Amino acid sequence: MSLRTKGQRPPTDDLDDESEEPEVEFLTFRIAGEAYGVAIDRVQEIRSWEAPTRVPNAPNYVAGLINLRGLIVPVIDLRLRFGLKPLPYTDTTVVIVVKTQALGRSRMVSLAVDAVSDVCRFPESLLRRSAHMGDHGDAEFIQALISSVEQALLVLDVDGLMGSGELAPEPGPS
Amino acid sequence: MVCLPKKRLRPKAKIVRDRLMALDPALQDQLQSVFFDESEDGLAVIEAGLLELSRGSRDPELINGIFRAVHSIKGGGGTFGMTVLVEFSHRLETLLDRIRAKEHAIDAPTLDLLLRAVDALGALLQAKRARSALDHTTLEQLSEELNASLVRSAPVADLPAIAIKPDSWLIHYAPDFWALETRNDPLIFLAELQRLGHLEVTLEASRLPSFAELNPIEIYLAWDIVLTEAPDEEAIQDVLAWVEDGSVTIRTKPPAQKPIDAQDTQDAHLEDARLEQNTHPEQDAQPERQDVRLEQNTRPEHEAQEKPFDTRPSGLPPLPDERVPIQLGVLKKSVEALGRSRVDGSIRVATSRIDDLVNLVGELVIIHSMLSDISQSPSKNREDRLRAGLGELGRNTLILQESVMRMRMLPIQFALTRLPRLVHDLSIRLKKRIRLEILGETTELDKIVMEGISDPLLHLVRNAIDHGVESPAERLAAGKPEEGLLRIQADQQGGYILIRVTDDGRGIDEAHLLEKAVAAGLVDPMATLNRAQIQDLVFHPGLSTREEVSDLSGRGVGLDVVRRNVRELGGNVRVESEPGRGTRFEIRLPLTLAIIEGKLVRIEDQKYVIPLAVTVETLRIEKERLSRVASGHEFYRLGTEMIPVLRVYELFGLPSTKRDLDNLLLTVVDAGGRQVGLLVDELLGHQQVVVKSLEANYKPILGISGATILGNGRVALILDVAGIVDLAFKGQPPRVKYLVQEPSA
Repeated sequence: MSLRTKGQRPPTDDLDDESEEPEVEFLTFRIAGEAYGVAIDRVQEIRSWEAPTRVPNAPNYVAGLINLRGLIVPVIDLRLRFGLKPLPYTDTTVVIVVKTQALGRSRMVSLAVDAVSDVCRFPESLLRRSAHMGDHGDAEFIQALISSVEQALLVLDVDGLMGSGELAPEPGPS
Repeated sequence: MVCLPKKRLRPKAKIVRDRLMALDPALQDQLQSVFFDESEDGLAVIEAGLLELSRGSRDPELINGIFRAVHSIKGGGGTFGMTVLVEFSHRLETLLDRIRAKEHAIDAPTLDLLLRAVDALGALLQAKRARSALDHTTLEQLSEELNASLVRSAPVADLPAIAIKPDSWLIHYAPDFWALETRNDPLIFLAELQRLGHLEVTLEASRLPSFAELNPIEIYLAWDIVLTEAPDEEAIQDVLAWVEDGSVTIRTKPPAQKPIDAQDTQDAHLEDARLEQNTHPEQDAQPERQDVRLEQNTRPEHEAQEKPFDTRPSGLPPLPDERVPIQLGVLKKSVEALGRSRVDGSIRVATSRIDDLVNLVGELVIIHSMLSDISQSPSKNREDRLRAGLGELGRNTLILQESVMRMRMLPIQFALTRLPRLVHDLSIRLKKRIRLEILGETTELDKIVMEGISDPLLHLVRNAIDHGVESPAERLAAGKPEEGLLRIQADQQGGYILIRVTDDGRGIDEAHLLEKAVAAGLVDPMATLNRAQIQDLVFHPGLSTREEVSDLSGRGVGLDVVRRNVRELGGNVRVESEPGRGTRFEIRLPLTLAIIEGKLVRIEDQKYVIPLAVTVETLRIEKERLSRVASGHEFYRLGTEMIPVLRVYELFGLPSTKRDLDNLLLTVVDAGGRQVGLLVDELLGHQQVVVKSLEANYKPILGISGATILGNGRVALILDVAGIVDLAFKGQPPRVKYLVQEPSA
């Protein structure tokens, strides 16, 4: 069986079906016109925006806490996290719930983004690990860069996002 | 001794260890943590047994119980390659073995040594668990003392040890699936055995797969063999030498009249069982094998196993070591140890409780399908049926909630296991005679509450022995019995647990206490206090009535910490004392921390819950009672007290346009003995809320103790008053003159 029979072609034409190399799948979304992706196996669900409960004395990018079927889950505003200008939350604001792993603890976090675009597959060879991505505010949370003829995609490092700084989990078992 | 020679067990332990090492580390950790939990249970059994011995009991079953517990710890330690642990427990075991065989006297020095050795063993296990450094000096010193004691040992018994010749052997032979590949034909083995003596063979075919899965070159059969009239063990060992280690176990079947040796067999048997369990867990679960065991189980304590024993939440996981504590009929009361270490949060739940849950969840599934059925099929009385369905759902949800809460409930005896030892040690040190009475130890409470109450209880007991109960001479002079009584009683009252620690000692010296409080500037000399208010001063930080500071209690830390700890658990503690007659401390604790009662308030556009346990009152602010001190802090005059006003919205960084506090609401709360007022905009009502963790997906927040979900699905945060005070004063609350710190509860 080749990948072709799976019924879904890769969105890129430059490497056609001969390649049997493994593919990676991303949920892509937009922030300030830029395309980002998060590994699809990390995505728990996508929700529409609802006003979260404020967290006292939290960094500005922590929009608040929401109830995810009985679990209390923080909402991180990626725009603010990347040091961009805030955008008022509207009906098109979308929240992506992802699983993160840091310091041996797995936590769920929801990311507020401008809009969700699509689910895309890429051959693994297109994935380029990023050493340093430049001076963008998002640089430290970008794990890799994918560039094809059609688009360029910044792959978000969700573990890094939740594993450092003020959002790092408390050490020790909980 | 007729148990299997150690050389047969060692290689197996090694094999098990090697296989363990090959396991996934997470599973290994899990197995280790089970071992540590069970070792703690074992330590509690040992300690309780030793204390029983020190009270004069010489029940052989008691000694056997202690021996078995040490043996299990040693075995487990060997499996995990903890050499120091194995060596130390081996020394201990040897001494216990001598005692058991009546070759060593049970005297006070020996008991003292044993108790200290058990402490060291406990410390060793703790260190292993926490992966911290071992205290080698203490261990070595105790090892030497144990050795010295062994040298001293002399038979004290009139019963000489009789060598027992076993009359038959029980052999369980379960060849590995691939045994034929190694040319180990079971038939040859059986034929060899037959040449040794009389053979009774039972076939066990439970491993046999369905025909489709059957592989002709694999062996699925196992045999239980009773061999009688065998010449000696060596001959059997010779035959066994051909068989792969691990696939066969032999044990002796002893004559029934010798209980101690039967015990040995039991040990060997347990050891075997454990080793097998680790290698072939799927086999051990089979009922057939259990039957074989019970048949040959001729020991007197067998009946103890069958007695109902509700206080032990048994069930998971079914490791064979669990059999050890269950068999200790004598030690029922102390079988379970408090999960002292906070390293891991495992809990044992009775299987029946889980079954109940499964049934309930089944009900919920049915109700769900019923409701979706109703919602899809339009009918005339749809609304009525929907309402009925929702009612059913509500009922079941409530039962489910209660059942889940019950899973967290443990008998309070878990928190009491350390007390007998403490009383024993302290009464020796202080040369007092004290009888400890524990009532209501099966009262259940939440595991978290239990862990939190353990230390305060220890302190109250210490306090009662140190300050309360008088010396025997004083007691006789006061016309009291020489032996003091310390009673700990637990009862459930509604949604609360009441724990009373009562002594019949000298009571609180009120005049002296008041004098000290005035001297410390805590009480206005002109104030008139009633008796309860004076007695309540014992909880005040910095008041200790003992003239000389002892290292037990009386450094001024203690009762105030007790009160703080109890309050952190949402409870309260009060004292009642009758001079010359005794003192009673009463702790009131909520049954569970998972659900609290709270006041729902609005601050700016956010809703918060203030736990009812800390709220005193809510009042409308009158401007003229407000004052601002130089530091910028605001105070509100309430009666004779000045209460700090905390602008929560400011502390939490909420945007606000407030200037004037007039006409706003002030909720007065108790922050660890000090009252503060929280500024709120609106009081929305009083309700029960389910506490949810913030740490699960986020992290702790200063000033917030948890979160809950409101009826509309939104998250509301639960205020932590102590944290808010920290936020406001950076840990340094301003000092204000007040008459009495707080009204008596």
